[in-house]
Amino acid sequence: MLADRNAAACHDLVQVYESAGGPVHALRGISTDFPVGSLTAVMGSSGAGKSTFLRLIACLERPTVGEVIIDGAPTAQLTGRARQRLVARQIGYVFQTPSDNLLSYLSVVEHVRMAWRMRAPEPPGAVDELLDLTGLAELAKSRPTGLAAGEQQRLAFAMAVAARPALVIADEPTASLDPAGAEALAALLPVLVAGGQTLVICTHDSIVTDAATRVLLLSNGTLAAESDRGGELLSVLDGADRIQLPRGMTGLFPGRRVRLTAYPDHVRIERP
Amino acid sequence: MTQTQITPCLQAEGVTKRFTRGSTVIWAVQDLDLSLAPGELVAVTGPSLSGKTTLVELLAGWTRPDQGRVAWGSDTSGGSPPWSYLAVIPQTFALLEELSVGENILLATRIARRRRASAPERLDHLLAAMGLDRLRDRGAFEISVGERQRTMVARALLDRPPVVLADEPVAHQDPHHAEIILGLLRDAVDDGAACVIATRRPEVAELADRVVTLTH
Repeated sequence: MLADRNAAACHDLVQVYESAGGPVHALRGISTDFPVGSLTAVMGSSGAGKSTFLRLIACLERPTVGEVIIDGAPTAQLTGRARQRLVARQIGYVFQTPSDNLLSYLSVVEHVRMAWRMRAPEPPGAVDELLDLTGLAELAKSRPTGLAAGEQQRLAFAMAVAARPALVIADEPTASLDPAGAEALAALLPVLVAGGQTLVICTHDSIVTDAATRVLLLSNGTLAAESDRGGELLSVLDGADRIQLPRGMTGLFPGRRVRLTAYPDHVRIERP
Repeated sequence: MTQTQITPCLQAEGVTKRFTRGSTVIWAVQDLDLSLAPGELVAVTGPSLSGKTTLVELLAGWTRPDQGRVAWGSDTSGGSPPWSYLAVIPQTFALLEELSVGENILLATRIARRRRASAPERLDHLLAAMGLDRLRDRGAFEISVGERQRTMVARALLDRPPVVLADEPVAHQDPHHAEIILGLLRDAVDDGAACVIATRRPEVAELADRVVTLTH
């Protein structure tokens, strides 16, 4: 059944970066999956590991430990070139800074056409249709330097979804958009999902999270909570059976010691 | 006495470009004439905000002048010249992050709408010359600003275009790599290419056959 297939999945993702001050644990073991045709919003405060998580799912980086599975196939053994091919054909990525996806040599329509052709042959009229859909038709001949930040971001998004890659991953795609632009982009998301594309979007924008079928909340490099199908946010037990207290609740426990009482069907946490 | 006229590969006549910011008019480039012959290296200097980048964009055909005109080779139709004729090393919007360094350099063939036109040896040569060979399969987002700029230079030089426009091409380089980049540009000129380098640095301008200075 289609709904049971995962466009992407990950197991125990750990990412450690070396820095001058010693190792930085950006991700501390995250497991989850992304069913085909889902729209997952990834949330969390800055430094929670959101961008690292997105780059690992997009196979732009390799995890220190753990694995990423794309369309049922593990990616760990892929060599540089096979990996690049997978990323180029199957995954569209929108970077946080639109300039990271754009070239000053090319006009708007040339960008979208190039992005399309890098994945698949371009059917007649497909590029124009995508420009219409993303509100870029009137800017078709402009160059990136002549575009406002929001227009650059829409162009980067159009390139990421050109030729309909199975998985589209976007890092804060509404950050430079005005409210009308953000709304237009949010309206586009269900259209892509209905077409069977799988979206993973890191965002703080409620206009995007409202369109999401699922929300993941990252905190301090772990998956702290995840919404179920009914939209309720559930805490996640990590690989070592730990859970995080919800944000703001630590104030209830100034001594940082709690009394845990286990009952047959629940656990109680209180001040000693 | 008659002299053999060399056809310029790029010619700007009375080029003027102004921007309005609120009620202020900014004259980025004012009534500029510039003729560029094959085998010539021209430096465009001037302080920050004197219009160097605007001039590069005008010469590339990316921006249309308000007055005057730019012509390339024998083509005076007014459209922008193809990448196979004129390659640019811009300061921004230059790499696709999801591609590797090698693929970003080979994008030249896509921008020029020519498939795999360049010989792989040329890519190997440029990667080695720029000290980028180990980074060939690395993602563009993983490399430093200086390495990004060298990737752009390699892309511009890949297909040996007749005209190269470089906007601050050594801005992010240490002296060693600056020398390599300027050497490669000089080599291209000695092979018959025409090159414009926009730069704030006087020591870069010293390498040029001719210097054009812009003022505010």
